[in-house]
Amino acid sequence: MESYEEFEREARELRRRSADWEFIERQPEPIRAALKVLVETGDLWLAAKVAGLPVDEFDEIRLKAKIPIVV
Amino acid sequence: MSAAVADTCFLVHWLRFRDRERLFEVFDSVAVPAMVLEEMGARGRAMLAPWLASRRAFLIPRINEYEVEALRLVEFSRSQRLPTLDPPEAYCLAVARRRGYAVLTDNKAPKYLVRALSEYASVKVLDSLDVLALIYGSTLTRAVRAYEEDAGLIFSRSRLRTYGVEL
Repeated sequence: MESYEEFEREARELRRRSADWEFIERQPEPIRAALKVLVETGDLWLAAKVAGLPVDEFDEIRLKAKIPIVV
Repeated sequence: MSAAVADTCFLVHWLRFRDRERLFEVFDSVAVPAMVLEEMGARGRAMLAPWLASRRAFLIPRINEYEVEALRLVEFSRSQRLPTLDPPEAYCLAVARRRGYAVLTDNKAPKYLVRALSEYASVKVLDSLDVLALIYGSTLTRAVRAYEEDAGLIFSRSRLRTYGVEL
């Protein structure tokens, strides 16, 4: 299994690079903060909790924000 | 074939996959903890409903014993500085160990936890790439492209190489 630190560093860079930052900055709080949590951590469950939304509903916003989930 | 218990993120993404029904070529049934169902919105629940109606998926109630064990796992992962384990994944691990199920999750943390905690060493943890590989075998590359497109996921290129896939 690859090193988690290496995997997460590469995944975070990809999320930061791929994200539509204009879209993210246009979102109301706490959605904006939640999307930033997702970019930094990759943790969809945690970000959905921050947003106060069901995971699948937050995931639809995640797709619009062009933030990839890296597996 | 056997049963698996799925966490929220796995289900949210797998249910978008055009060939989602093929999951049952690998598992007879999928257990869905009540806490996972509660975290899904209208769309996710609607997509899960046919699986529940056909009894290929079934609900697992909140059980205090599993919740206490899940908290222990979350605390263990924090104390060992393992990747962050969220409560639903921890609950799935607790269920899987006691019931002999596999765990379906796209998060890394459960895979690291079962390597770090000896009493969990027998728990099989699979992510969507592992499941796709079991279903598709030699035609995995096409399935990976379809899954990435449908679910909005990106598989790590190094992990894909371990399955002989170069995109």
